[in-house]
Amino acid sequence: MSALSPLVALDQDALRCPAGAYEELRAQGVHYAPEIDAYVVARHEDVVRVLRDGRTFSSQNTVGRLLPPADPSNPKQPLAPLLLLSDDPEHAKRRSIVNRAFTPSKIAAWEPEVRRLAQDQVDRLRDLPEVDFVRDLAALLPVRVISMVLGVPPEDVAQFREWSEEITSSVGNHGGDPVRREQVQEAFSGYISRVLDQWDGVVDTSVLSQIAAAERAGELTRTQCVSFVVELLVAGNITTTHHISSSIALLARHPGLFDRLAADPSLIQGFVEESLRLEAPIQGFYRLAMADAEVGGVAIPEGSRLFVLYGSANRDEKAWPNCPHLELDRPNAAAHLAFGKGAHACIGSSLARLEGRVVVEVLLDRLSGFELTAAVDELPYGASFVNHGPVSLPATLTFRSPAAVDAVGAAR
Amino acid sequence: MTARVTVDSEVCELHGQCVEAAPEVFSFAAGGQLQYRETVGDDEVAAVEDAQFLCPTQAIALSRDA
Repeated sequence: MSALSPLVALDQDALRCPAGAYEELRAQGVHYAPEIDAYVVARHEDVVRVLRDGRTFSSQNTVGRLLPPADPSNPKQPLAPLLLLSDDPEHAKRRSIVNRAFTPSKIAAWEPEVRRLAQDQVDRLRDLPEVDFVRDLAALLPVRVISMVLGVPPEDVAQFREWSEEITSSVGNHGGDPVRREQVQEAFSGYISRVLDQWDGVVDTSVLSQIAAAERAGELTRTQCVSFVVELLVAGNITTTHHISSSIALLARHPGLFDRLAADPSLIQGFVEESLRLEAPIQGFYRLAMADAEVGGVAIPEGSRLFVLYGSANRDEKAWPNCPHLELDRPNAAAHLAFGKGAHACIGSSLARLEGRVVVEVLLDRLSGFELTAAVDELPYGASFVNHGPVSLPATLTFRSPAAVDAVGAAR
Repeated sequence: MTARVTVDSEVCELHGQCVEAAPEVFSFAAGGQLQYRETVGDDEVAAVEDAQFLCPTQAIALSRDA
């Protein structure tokens, strides 16, 4: 039996804090876990080794299962992600279509807009006696941000958000209603098609314009365009929701941290990196061995599945001295594997970091404090050992007076 | 303040994204090999970060000196 068992059994305590299970898995080294029919890779150096070698370790089973073969004659076939499950050279070619919209410098230019959206979301919490940080903030902000970066016209954002929620939830729930999924997929495809048809031929910073240009150049079919949008939408959604939620849970779990960050905002980026390291929204993904290989001294036969645990690598004492402690000044703070590594490293990492930092800054700006109304060690977590984050954070908030907000803003 | 650039030549596949993103730092030599400046100034870090991000094989490392 593998130490992975409680996680596979979706035990709430294990999902909330998988650190103990990961420690055992690292001590065991690379081993086969029958529970998931995969070799578990938990040590930092082994995780890096697998992620860096995309030729030997294919991404086609990243989410665990293989997709059915493409059938262009069936318009109702579920959309297949273009990036997540492809290997180079195809992956590199597709990624280059949208890559330039997500570079650190392009994303940095969005900061004022992201801040405006975050302020708007937080200000809506002002008169509520009790809020749920997940439902009322963390679940709402990412879709507004990704809609903007994709280039969805403002008048369509509300509708887009509705579809996005349905698509995201149907992705998370593999047993979802297939009829409903088809309806949403059709409506969404129709919408994206109209946007692409109306494209004015100008390539700007928006991702949609870049996808439209690739379609016009014959690099993508219409179905692939829709898949691309769905993939970016989904990828930027639940993960960022989890990241924001986990950051708030960390603030609640560490007394004094909120005030310390408020007093010295230069520590916020370090906090965001620690949040990503300790509470990576994706704890692990699968890979498929395309040839006989060896990882951590263990033979992996061709055709084997590997479960590669970023969340465990992020807690490996060998890479992270004083590991379990949240430290705001780690010299290698950003070197965690929350975004993966290698060719498939998260395309939206800069955007996620920006959102993660800005939302904390805005909370510190607007609030003098908050109190969770649920026990922090009993918070409910999503029922997945891949996606990681609290699903509810009920809290009462104390807003600063408007004058104090101005003072904090001016001090920045 | 300066930063140090290194490219893992075993990982690099000469896609040339870095040459486009940060031509001041990365270039192709006459023989087709990648050449780059190891020490870059503060004003060049953003371009190198873009290059690092765009590299299809993620072969570029950037470390900041004190």
